[in-house]
This record gives sequence, structure tokens and C-alpha cells, in this order.
Amino acid sequence: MKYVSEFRDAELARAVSAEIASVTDPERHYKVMEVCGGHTHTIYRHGIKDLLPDQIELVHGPGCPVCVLPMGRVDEGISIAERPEVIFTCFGDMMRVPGSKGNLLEVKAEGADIRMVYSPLDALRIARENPDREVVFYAIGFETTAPSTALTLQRAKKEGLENFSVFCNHVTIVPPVRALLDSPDLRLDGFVGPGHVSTVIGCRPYEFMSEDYGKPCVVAGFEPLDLLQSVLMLMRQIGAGRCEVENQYSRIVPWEGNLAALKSMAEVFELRPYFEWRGLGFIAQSALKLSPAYADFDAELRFSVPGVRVADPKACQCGEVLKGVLKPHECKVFGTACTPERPLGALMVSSEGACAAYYNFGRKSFEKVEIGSKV
Amino acid sequence: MLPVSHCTLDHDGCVVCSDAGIPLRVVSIEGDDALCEDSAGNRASVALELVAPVRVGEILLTHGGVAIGKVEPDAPYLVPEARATEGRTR
Repeated sequence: MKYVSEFRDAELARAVSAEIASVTDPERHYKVMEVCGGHTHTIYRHGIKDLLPDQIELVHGPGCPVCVLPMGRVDEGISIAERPEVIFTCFGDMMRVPGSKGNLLEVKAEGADIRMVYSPLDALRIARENPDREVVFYAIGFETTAPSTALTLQRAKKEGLENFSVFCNHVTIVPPVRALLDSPDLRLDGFVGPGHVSTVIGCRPYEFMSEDYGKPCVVAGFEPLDLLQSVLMLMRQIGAGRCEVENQYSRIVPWEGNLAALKSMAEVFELRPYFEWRGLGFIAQSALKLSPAYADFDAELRFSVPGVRVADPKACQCGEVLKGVLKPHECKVFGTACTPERPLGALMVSSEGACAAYYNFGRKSFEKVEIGSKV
Repeated sequence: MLPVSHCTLDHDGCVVCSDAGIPLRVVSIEGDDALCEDSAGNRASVALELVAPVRVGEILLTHGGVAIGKVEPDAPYLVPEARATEGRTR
């Protein structure tokens, strides 16, 4: 039971697939959103879509923080990185996200000291090793990543490290989902909830989906059978007229979340009044900034970040894809002007972005469909 | 091989995606950090404060060098039951 193979067992996958088909109403169309980019990746990497009946449409949600980051925030990060006294640190995928005048990789090539780190704790180590330089960490991510930034800042404060600061772009998962549910563009039947975000926040924050909007939600793991079973659990709820939050990923996700992580975040962060999301616009209380107790570590205050708003390139339809209105391959520049090698939009940059997942794993099947449909 | 996921320290997809969690087994503990090992034998230091107390041999879910959860060894695995049973709530 406890081994990876159990979660990739082909025979079992076929059995679950058959069970899903048996509870699917052939006269009905179902729209299910997987909120997390990691799930999108699993769906295309393992061909989950082919195991589902045609009546079930999977819609990709806004759960990739790189993809939802507006271009203005990329530009602001670059403006900090270009300062001569700064060592700018960030996760690998951020390096290639295009700002209005280029990306961090290009700025690094022009001489800026930009270093890729795996953990914010690596940035802290760099700060210790370079006391005469300003070390800035580009913090980005949902509630899975925010605790690591919080813990890093708590350690920095404890050590009295004065040359370390954080450019905070952490976002929270519930407000954008609520914004999607309020959107007239999209009619959804249920949600596959993000597994590892829920390790931190638990399952209770999703109860509004069922209570306020009448939509079921199943928090899911990331192996192929995790996803298949989550879809089965959703379909059974819909079929029985139930509307609940269920936890498929109970081997990892406690119902109440990680209380120590939540406490750490509550000490270090506070909610921003509003934050801009690519494709979704400004959403109230949807992002985190450093609390007054940690203001000394806030790069936005230390370097006077201007707060510029930059529009996406006209050809880029990331916004529509993020809202689930368009499928990635329906974007007019998908696979032509916008590819993983030369991305126009963030959805093609991040390996968890819906467009990158489609391009890398699903492109051929769309081509087949299109060829078939023309004949 | 460790349970839970195919993720390893050298193949974790996109850490920024925020939902890449890597299961690691605790090898040794020193203060607030532990030396941990993934299913491929890669080792890394992981901060423990958010899941303390931790024992050697436990399996942690880690993200960006910080442990954010523990794998619940007694939690029932749902997949084998998926053939016939209802999904559990809570």
C-alpha cells in the first residue's frame, strides 16, 4: 500500500476509470477544475484525460504562482536585482519569467548578481557569507511555500541579520477560487483541491465552496491514482446530490492543517488589502506582505519599489487560460510565437504552467484531434 | 523506496509551483535541522521547526528545504479501496 507503484498501478487505474464511467451520466457534461498546476502536470504527464469519459471536462485553475504573477511585479524584482549592492536570489523558474523589458536571466547576463536558490534558507546562508552586500530573496508561492519564507525570516530576526530582506509575492489560494466562482464566464461542477497547500492550511478553508456556492471539493494527491480517485469521489458526490469537502490525500493532509506553520505565517505576514493577479485582476486580501514586526526585512520598503502596473503583451491570452475560459492550445500564439524555449506568457514558462504541460505532454493528441476533425 | 510520491530532490518539478512536496526520510537530527534522504538516496538538510518534534526514521513532506508535514503512517491508503468503496470524508 505504501509504495509508489500502488499509486501508478495500471490495472487499478483501469478499474477506477471504469468506475468513473459507471457513475457518469452520459447525457450530462461535467466541468471539473483542478486548482493546482501540479495536478495539471500529472494529468498530462500520465494521460489521465484519456482515462476519463468524454463528458468530464477538466479545467485548469490558477494554482501556479509564477503564472499568476503580473508583469509589473517581475519588473520590480528586476529593478531591485539591478542595484549594484544587491545579491538577488530566487527560485529557478522565476529566472525565465518575462518582464516588460526582459527576464532575470538576461539581467544576470548583463552583470547583475542574481543567484538561483532551492530554499530561502540558502539565501539566508548567502547573506551570512556576504555581510557587506544586500541579499534579497524573491519570495513567491502559495501557502505551501510561504511557511519556508516565514521560518527563514524568523531565523534571520533571531540572528539579527541586517543585510537580508524579502521581496514578498506570496499569494493565498482561497480568494482567487472565490473570484472564479463569482465569475460569470465559468460554470463549474466541482473542484479538485490542491494537496500540498492543504498540508499547511488544512481542508476547512474550502468549506465555503460547498456551503456558499454549492460546489463539491476533493483535496487530492499527485500520483495518477490519487487524481483518478479524486475525480471518482467528485462524481459520486455529484451523482448523489452531495456537496462536501472530502480529503482524498489524508496520508499527508491533516483536516486542520499544520498549526505550527500557520502560527509562523501569522507572525511574519499580514494580508495585503489587494493584489493584482494575471488574468483575474485585483483581488482583495489575496496576497501576503511582511507584518510590521518584520518591516525591517521588507525589500519593498528597503528599496522603495515603485508599484508599476504593466499590461501583458496583446497576443498573450494567459488571462483567459488562467480563468479556464480558453484551453491552452486555443490561445492564438500557443506553440507558435509562444513556446517553452521562447515564452510570451508565464503559463508557458513554469513547468507547472498549463501551457507548458499541454505543450510538453498533450500537443500531439491535439494535433491528432484537429487532423481528425478536418477529415 | 519511500511512499507518497515520485518526487525526489533532483526531480521535483517546479518548487515555485508551491505544490511540489518531496517526501524525505530523517537520517539524523542536529538542533533545528535534519539530514534527510529521498527515495533515490539524495541527501539534504531540512529545517524542522514547523513539524517538531521529529524522530530519526520518520518521513517528512518537505518544500524548499523546510519540512511542512509528516507522512501519517497509519492513514489508510485509499487507492486499493477505490474499486468499490465510497471516498471517505475527514
